[in-house]
Amino acid sequence: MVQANTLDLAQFQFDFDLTFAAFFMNPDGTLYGRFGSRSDRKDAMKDMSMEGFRKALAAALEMHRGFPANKASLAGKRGPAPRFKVPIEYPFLQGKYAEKLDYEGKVVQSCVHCHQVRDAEFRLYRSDQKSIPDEVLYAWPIPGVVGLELNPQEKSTVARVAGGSAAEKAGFRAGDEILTLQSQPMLSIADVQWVLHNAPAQGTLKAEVLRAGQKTVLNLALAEGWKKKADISWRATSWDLRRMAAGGLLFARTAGGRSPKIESHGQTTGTDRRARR
Amino acid sequence: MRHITGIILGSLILTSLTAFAAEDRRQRVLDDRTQVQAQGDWVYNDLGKGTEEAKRTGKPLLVVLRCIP
Repeated sequence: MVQANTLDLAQFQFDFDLTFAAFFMNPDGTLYGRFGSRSDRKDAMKDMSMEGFRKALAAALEMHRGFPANKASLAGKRGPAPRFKVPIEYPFLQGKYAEKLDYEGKVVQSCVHCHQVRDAEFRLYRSDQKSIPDEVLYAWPIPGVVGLELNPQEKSTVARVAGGSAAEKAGFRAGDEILTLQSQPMLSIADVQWVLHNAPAQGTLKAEVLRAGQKTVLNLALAEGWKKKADISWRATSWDLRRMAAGGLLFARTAGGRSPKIESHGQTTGTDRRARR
Repeated sequence: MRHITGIILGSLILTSLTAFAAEDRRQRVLDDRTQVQAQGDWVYNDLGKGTEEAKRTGKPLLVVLRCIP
């Protein structure tokens, strides 16, 4: 799929700031897992690898062999009903895009880019003069927000645990393979993000990990404000917010950490401008 | 006068570069479809057809969503 115009938003819920995402599915629509993660503006492959993708694919094939006996464990992988069935139903995209790409005409301009779905979501709140809720603004948290650095070469294996983090307090250790989170089987870092994305502002997530051949259950406590630890500055959908807050300037700390420096200025793409009209 | 000429020349160059970039992007989108379809390994941009093929063969679906760079 190379366009989001009529993408089924009930079926395909993913991080819309990504430029690559994959879904492993049964033909009946049951989702085995997701793939595709990003946390860095410049390095798109920081959180992904071909080896990790291969292992996720192999695990998805294994799940397909076990289907439908495993169907109940996969129910949580499907999200809540979306506000709009497809992107072109959003008020800010409605009437500007057709259902299909215009390959005979202006094909580039006829494409709804994935990030425009999030842009359109943000604009719903702004047009109602409401604050963008944390769960929308800090969507798809990278596991680092709870102190888990996962190895991109694996499906969902812990590479490092940050000191003093929620993950350390829960007892996670480097080398742990997260088998399930909230009873959902984990095929990738994106699957972990999916559970975090749907997790409450405060609460506990149950994880089953494989450690030295033994299964262990860990409880990850989420303290108030945990989602806000995410750095969203890499996201294309944050650039418009940056433009409003700081004229498009992105500040970063200098080596000494005392004063901010301007790291980059914001960008506004042609598609963003078109969507605003 | 020299400044005005410079501004006009600069604007013309910028307009030409923008038009060239837009055409380049359009061509990449068209080429992407041609090349991927020619390889024959993927059902291109047609979820319904992909789903029908998966049902027919009993295989799982791998759906990739991607931006054409």
